[in-house]
Amino acid sequence: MSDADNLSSLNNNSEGNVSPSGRIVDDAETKQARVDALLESIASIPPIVDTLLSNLSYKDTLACLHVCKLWSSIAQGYLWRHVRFRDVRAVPVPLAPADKAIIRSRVRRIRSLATPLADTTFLDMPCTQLESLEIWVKTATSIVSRLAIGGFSPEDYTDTGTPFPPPLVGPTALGLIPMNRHLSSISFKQIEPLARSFTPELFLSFSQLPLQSLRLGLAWHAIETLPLAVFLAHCPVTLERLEISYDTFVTGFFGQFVNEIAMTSEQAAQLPRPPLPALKTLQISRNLRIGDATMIIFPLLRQCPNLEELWMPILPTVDVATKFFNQILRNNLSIKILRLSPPGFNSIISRNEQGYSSQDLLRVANTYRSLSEVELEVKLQDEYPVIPTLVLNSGWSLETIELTCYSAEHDIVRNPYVAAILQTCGRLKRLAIYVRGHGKSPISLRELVETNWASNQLESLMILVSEKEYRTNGWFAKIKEDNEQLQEDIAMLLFQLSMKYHAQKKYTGPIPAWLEIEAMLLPFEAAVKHTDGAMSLAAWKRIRPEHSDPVCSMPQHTPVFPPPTTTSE
Amino acid sequence: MSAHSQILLTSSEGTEFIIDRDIADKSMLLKCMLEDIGEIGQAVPLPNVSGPILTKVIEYCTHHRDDPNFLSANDDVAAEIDEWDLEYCKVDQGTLYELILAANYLDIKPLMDLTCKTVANMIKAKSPEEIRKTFNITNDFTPEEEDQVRRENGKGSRRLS
Repeated sequence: MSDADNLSSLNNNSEGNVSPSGRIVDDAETKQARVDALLESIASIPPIVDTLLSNLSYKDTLACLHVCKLWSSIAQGYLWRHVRFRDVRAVPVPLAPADKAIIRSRVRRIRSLATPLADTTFLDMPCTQLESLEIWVKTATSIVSRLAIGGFSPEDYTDTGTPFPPPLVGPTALGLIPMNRHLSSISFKQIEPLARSFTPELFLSFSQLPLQSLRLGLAWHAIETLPLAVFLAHCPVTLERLEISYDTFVTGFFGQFVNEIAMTSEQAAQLPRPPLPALKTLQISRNLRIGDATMIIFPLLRQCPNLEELWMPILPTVDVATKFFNQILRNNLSIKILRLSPPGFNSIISRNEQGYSSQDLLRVANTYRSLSEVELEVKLQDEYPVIPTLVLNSGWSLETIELTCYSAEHDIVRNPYVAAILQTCGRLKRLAIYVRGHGKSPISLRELVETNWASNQLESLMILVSEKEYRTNGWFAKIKEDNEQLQEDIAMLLFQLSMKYHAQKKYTGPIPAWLEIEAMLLPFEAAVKHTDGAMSLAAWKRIRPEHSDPVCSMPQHTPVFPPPTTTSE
Repeated sequence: MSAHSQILLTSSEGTEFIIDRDIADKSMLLKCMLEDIGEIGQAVPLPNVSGPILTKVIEYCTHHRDDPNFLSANDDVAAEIDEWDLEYCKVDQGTLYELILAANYLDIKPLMDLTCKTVANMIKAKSPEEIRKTFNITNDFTPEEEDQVRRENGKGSRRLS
């Protein structure tokens, strides 16, 4: 039977002014009235409204709020789906009665809740429809976090004179978890005041949730421990993203003593294979002790065969680093994105500690030719040769490179590898170089301008050096504020870079000289605009050819770059 | 007679439609009804759906007859509407609303998702005034009321004090 036959019995009554509902339409007015009535009936049917509004963004829903009374009342119900309390208070205080009333009337609509308040009894009627829960407890100082990991010394406390927050009694935000069985995302950060309520038993109940994302930024209370094997056996199999972040040490989460929580090979053998089949992203806090790495993190990594993105903290010793590269990375070939020790205040390798060596990094380069993103932390003095090697090996696949370089005090160093990266990585989209430490501006912007870039897809280049930030069309540079001459030089070089950047988007070959000369001849106003205001008149005058005045537009084949200045040394 | 059994439907004006059982099964309402009462050859009356709209609905179900992803096709809110569906929704507002109502009544989730998405697209990226114009809505707020709405929901991130 054909499709047409299905419709064959339809009476042909569509002649004349017949609306789809079959009624005769007299004029435009009646027709409009009918359409309006239909719209109203649509608005009165909850499943339809639900489907409709789920297709709207937050901003669109806000617009609906102001259309008319009917739409306003409907839209309000959808504006309270995602509630995030602002992080304004140092210490949780009760909400004002008016605010409580507002929340109470909408609590059933809340799908995602983010709160810095440990005590959610203000909700009166608890949310039971949550899909996402985020708790970060604002404490008076960070002392509490030090307390909880056992690194507490009495001086920490008396120095600042901050009172220790009283332990919470009664229901806490954690009490929401057993009431919400559809949670797909849970995030805890700094919830030490709740540590007593966050028992291993509560964690084990997570295995019944359809969790996809779990962030554990907390420590167990000193007496509790959670053996790794138990953790793995109870992690929901749906988990796609796991973050174990804690201010200081990763064992803070599992317990105090590595020996108690480590997994034996017998335990590992008894785990379901693999315990975390869906896990794509694993993020681990930035500091890792030797015991944490070899006894907790590496065994955990061996259980994650489908990992694509790995964020790892500083590897504490060369031994550990070697182990990591040889035993872990080599067996996890699905990893595309590798972040080793992301930039952070706590993560400067102390001079006494030995970081991973050039050789270890070379192993990454040689093993991981499929890497598309790397983020590495290097010491400027001795890691130079590594970077060119890295980009030569996996340069063709690298799209994002983020380097954090530490320069020790008084080191004056140049950047010998930025050029190598730019020349080699043909698919590079994003390059970021952060220079930290006390050295003087080691990045040569001039070199960036003078290098031929292999990639014509570069979207962002970021260079952060010291305090003051300059920005121009996606280009960043930070230099010391007190050096005016240097500022102007940087502004000027950034200006040239920005021109080059625009050119690079259009041309695949080397940058034609004429373009740079043309850039030189932009009117001052245009130059200022191009550099987001960073270009000063003095700098602009300096980069212009000697004998050209602002109205002159004849291209001149004079040297593109002004004589080098020596102020930065 | 094909192997497919057939169903007789009557629209609100009494127009009769004969459709294949697998087409009717796209509607959860009809599917449950037919499972419950069995096929007795009697016409199923659909007093809430007019003939032309029922024709449109049958057209949709027929096009997606063998679509294996029928029930999950429009789950992804961000997904693009496919070309046929896009063309299908190029109807006047009245018809579109009637389709929504019919999809809701007949419980055809993919059609409901599609038509609601189409209406949502008419709202997207518009100011309240533009929305009123699109949907022929009169602003019935007094300035005070409008002010109150703005105060209570100001920028959406109301600061609880």
